[in-house]
Amino acid sequence: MRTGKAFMAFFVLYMILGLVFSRISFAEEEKKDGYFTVYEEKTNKKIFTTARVVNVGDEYLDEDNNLYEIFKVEGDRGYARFKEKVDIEKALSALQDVEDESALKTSRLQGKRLVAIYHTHSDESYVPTDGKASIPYKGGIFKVGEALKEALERRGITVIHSNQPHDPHDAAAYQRSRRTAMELLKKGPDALIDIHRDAVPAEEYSGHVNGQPIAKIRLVVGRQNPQIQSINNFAWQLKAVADKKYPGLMKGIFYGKGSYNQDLFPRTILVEAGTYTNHRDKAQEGVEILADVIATTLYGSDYQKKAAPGTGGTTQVPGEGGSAVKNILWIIIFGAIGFIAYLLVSTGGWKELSSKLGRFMGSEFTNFLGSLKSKERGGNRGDRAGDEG
Amino acid sequence: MPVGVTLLLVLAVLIYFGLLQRVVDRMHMSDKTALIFIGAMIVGTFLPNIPLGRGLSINIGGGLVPIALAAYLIVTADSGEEKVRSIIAAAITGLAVYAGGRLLPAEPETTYLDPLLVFSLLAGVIAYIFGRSRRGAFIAGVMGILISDIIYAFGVAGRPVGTAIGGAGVFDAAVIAGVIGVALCEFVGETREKLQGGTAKAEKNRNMASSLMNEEGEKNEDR
Repeated sequence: MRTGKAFMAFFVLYMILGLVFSRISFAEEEKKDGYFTVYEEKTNKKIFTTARVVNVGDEYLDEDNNLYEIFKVEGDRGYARFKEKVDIEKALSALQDVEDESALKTSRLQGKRLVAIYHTHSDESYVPTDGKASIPYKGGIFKVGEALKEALERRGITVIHSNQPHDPHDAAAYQRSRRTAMELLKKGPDALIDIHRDAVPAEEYSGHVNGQPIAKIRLVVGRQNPQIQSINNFAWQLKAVADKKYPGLMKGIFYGKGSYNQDLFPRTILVEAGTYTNHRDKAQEGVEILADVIATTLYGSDYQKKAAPGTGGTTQVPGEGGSAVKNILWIIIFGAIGFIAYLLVSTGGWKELSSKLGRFMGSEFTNFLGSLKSKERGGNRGDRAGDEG
Repeated sequence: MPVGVTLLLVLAVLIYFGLLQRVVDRMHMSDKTALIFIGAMIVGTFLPNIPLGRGLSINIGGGLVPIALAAYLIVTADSGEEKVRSIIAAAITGLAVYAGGRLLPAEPETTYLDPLLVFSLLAGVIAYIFGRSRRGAFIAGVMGILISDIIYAFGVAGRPVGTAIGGAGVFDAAVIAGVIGVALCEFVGETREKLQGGTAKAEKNRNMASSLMNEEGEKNEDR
């Protein structure tokens, strides 16, 4: 009997692992076997490459703000359909007009300007400078984070840069880095940034800003997140500022399956600072420019003038309010559907359900509201309930 | 923080804590004790972590309180068998979560569900199979994540990996695993009972009654 149970447990485990994951591999081996290349459906033109796993339904906003949706994945090739050309600035200002007049204006929040940086994949490194793609516990990525920290500090912003490693580079890394993220959030930062590097050929990220060679930046937004709209608006805002001030810096925004701990805070973002085949100093120069983009996005274009003590304010992400209202509605709708479905399954029918609900209201809230139903109902429940239904 | 986001947070927190309260409610505890535990988890989340050495530290709300709750549940379990079952389920969950973390692809986009939820579901399923008890599921969920953290901390995966146990407080994998474990037990248990037309006990009683009236009762015996 007991052996049967143990066997059953392992069988179920095996089935779950098999079903929930499309392929099982030794996680620490970073994807050295390759990367995904995504092509446009009609022209077969390459849109982008990424070492992140590409799934049907993922989206990509390219450097020129063309939005694509991936509809087919075959091996390491993805195929995407052009959806629309997004006018980010227009979209952001529309959000501002309709949903929140105060958006983009500096809020009255008085406080210290604070940005927090951490690295979920603390082993990520750059081959030409660091010698290896992965240096566990102390990857070159920390130096890129340090470069961003110093550049932000030069702009009058306080920065907390976590040196907490989250190795090994496996499926539980985000679970561990979630704790670091939460720890950083307790300090009340205006933005929380998780810095990574990609694992594709160097050309993908090589670029120039004002004639200076740098490794470009790509933002990653997680689709498995109820706050995706807020995160997306924050990403759009960063890209709009970058495109205006530093054309060529921002490669694009990848909308991948995952949450990347972005459910914890509306102004959090995953940054890919170049790729492992770039020189690390180029990635550092890239994030130094990104520092100005972040400062402008958070504290307004005249942030340096306003850096005087006591006048610090935070720019809101446009639509934060609107998307929150929509999210609340969705949560209520899903909650209600789930709850009714659960009750139906657990009671077996409307009649039984309504009687149980009646009893529930009568007994469970007694402490708070007094008994809603009179005590005489307490007797035999099942049969009587039928009449009520 | 803008009003909308604050509202959303408040609502999400209310729903989550509502669920948490239901879960704790299933643990043979009085309303008051349940509220004290939840209050301790919330407050503890925002207190500084307690260092434990080896790079490990523990959050009060996401680690210490849930572990204390799990320990309390083991101690007050109805029977010795339930205690043993809960502990075995917790150990197996710990190993499974660790194995899952090591074997599954590192990038979360590979999985259909966020790894956080997968680990929680694993805990729920294992606990259900071994304990068929909601309390067992809570114990396995909380302790399973804790055990996997300890395995990492002892360097089984290479160098010792320090972490803050339950560091994300009430939003940590440990608490979420406990909650999902119990919710899964509720859902699977209720569905299963529904499918078989009642609990095994009820079935037996019905069989006994019906076998008095006719011979067909025996057919249901093995369901």
